[in-house]
Amino acid sequence: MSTRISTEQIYQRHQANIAKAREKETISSQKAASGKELLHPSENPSGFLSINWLKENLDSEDVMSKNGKMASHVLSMTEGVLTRLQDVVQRAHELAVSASGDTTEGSRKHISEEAKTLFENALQTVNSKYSNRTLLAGFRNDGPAFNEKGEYLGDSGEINIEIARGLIIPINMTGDKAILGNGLTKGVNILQALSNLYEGLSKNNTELLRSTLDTLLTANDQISVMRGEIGARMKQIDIVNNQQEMSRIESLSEISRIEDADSIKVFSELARDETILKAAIATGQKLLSDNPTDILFK
Amino acid sequence: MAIIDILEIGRQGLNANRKALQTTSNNIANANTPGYTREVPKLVSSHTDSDKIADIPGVEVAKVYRVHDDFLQNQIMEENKSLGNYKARSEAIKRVENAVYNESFKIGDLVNKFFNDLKELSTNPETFTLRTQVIASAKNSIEGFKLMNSSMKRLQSELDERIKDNIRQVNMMGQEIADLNGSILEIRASGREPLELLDKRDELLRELSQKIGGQFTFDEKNNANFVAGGVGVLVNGTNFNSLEAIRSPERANKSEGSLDIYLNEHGTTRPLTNVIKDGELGGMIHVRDDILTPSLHHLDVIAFSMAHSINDIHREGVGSDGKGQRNFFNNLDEVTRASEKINLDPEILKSAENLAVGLENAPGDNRIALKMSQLETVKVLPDAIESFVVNNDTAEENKEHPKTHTITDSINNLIGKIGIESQNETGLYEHEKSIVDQLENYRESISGVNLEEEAVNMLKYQTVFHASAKAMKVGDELFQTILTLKS
Repeated sequence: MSTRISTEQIYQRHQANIAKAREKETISSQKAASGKELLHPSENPSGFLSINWLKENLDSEDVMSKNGKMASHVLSMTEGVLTRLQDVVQRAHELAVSASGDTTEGSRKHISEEAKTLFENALQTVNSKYSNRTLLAGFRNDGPAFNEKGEYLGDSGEINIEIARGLIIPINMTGDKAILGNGLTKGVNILQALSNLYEGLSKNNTELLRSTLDTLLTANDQISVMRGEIGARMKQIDIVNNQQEMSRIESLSEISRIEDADSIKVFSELARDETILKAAIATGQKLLSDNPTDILFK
Repeated sequence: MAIIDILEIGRQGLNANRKALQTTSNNIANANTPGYTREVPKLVSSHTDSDKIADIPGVEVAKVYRVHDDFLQNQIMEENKSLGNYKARSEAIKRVENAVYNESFKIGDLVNKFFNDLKELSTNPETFTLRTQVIASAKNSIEGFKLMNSSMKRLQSELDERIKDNIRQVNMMGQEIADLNGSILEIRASGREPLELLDKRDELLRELSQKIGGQFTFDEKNNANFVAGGVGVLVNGTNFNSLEAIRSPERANKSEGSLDIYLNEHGTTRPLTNVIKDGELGGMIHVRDDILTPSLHHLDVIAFSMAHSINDIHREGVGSDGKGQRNFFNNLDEVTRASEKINLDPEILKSAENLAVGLENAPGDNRIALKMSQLETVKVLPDAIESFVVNNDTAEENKEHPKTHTITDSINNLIGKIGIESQNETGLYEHEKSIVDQLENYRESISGVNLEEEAVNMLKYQTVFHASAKAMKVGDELFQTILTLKS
């Protein structure tokens, strides 16, 4: 049994074919123009959520990575300070050793000038700044960490920053810990030790002089420990930075996989859809022009 | 048979074929009329009428009938309810999707930037520029909340306007159907068939079912009666009860001031909003009340939660003047309209120096900025937003409604849910459309006009008309011959 086709059906079918072809061609054009496969959340809701999460994560990680680099720089500067201080302490120890032996009062007095210079150098070193921030002053980093007498002016504030999700590290070393030895098992006051060396030499106080020998050795170890701690933090930042870099590449790749249109595929689909649209229009024209009704009604 | 009978038979032939030609012309003229059902003349031999077993044979048009399938009509009306519903839902939800997600303006990005700026401030707490940067990104986030809120509220108003317009159209159609019921009865009473009116009524019933869903029946007088939502009689014979849209207070998911639909029946008004589930009206009400209102609430909860969480931390710290207990955002005392009312605290707007970065007034103290920045990864919201409780601090409440989402998770969740709804509704609409298209196609193939067919019919009836005229001419010539015999 044959299917009856009304005249209206022919026109409606022609219209529907063109409308459908036009819709597909428009979507392909949009994808080609934007380079995006995903234009609305409804096209791929789970993909959309993934992209959003990945992008937000990337943005946050970029900031944290930047923070990490800054932290690394600050720690490196602090390490530099401690290195210079350690040189001073080691030289002071050498002086203490040589002055403790058979040395005349006059020689000791002469050596005391160098000891004074060493103390002043140390003071200058521990008050070093980075970008207007005193490195060893804790939170109170807008002023010097130590006054000319070696008294601590800062606080014990640890400046923590987030370098990765949930990973927080202190980027500073406080003077009260590193220089005064507070909170350490065998902590010593390094500036005091240097001051004692100068006093012992200048006043020919051999007792005081001898007491500085062990103190300066301990001070040297103390600085080594602090440097080690800083080194460990810098290593941690390095590791995190590397992981972040790898994770960034993977995230960008995943975002591209979901969101970006395959340009070859998109352009070939666009060409195909344009052809289909032209064919639909041409077919309709043919169908409507070859109308037996025209012959019958003439 | 007398010669004059030939004339009579010829006259019947002319008459019958003229009526057939009329019917064919009517079909051709209405080939493009939406909902038109083609008419076919039923030509019968005069001999077939047993009541008047005539000596004079001939032909007559017994009836002109519509080529119509009642069952198909009913099927189309049923499917139209769903089509109208899914169409309205799909279109409206696409608008909601555009309101909550705009490629050039993403609230998730703005909030993310705010937290990232706090991270930067925590690294450089003494830098004044970064304080103003944090405040600027907070303002942008606030702008984002307000914009999304106003977009969704505007959509609710637009839907209300469309509901009002739909009701106006439903009332017009309902009144027309009632009038047609009366006209059809009158014409039938006079012994004629109101074919065009029946077409018109069928078309209106199809449109009405798409607008409002509902159930239709035909009574013993063949009146089309329409009941909306199973309880509201819109059309009963020639009687029509109108619908009215009235602004009403908040109720369940319906927001304050938006429209409720009432039926005016026997001098009383009866609410129908909750029972209209089908058709375009049902679709629009669903999006307005079941999608937009909860989404607005979700947005309010996010804004409220963000403001309170940040404020709780900010109050612990001190500004550059050493003073504490300041809020960062203004104090929102309830969730309702939080995304509209959220703003920066006046103290923060007054000066960036009042932004608390540390616990103490020391330039390097970044503890408050750090804690605020870490809120980005803290789960402060439940998955089921409707279970959010203000001041949800007790262990019991936390156990019952565990907090599983961060602020940005929740924002993405809100947008994702709408994306899923939009995807669903588009799929349902396309599926339903293909069903209705098939049914309409089938209806057209039965009831639609085919011009080629009508052209052939025209030739057919025209030929017989000419032949009948010729027969009359022959009859007349025979008659003239008889008359001239005597002379």
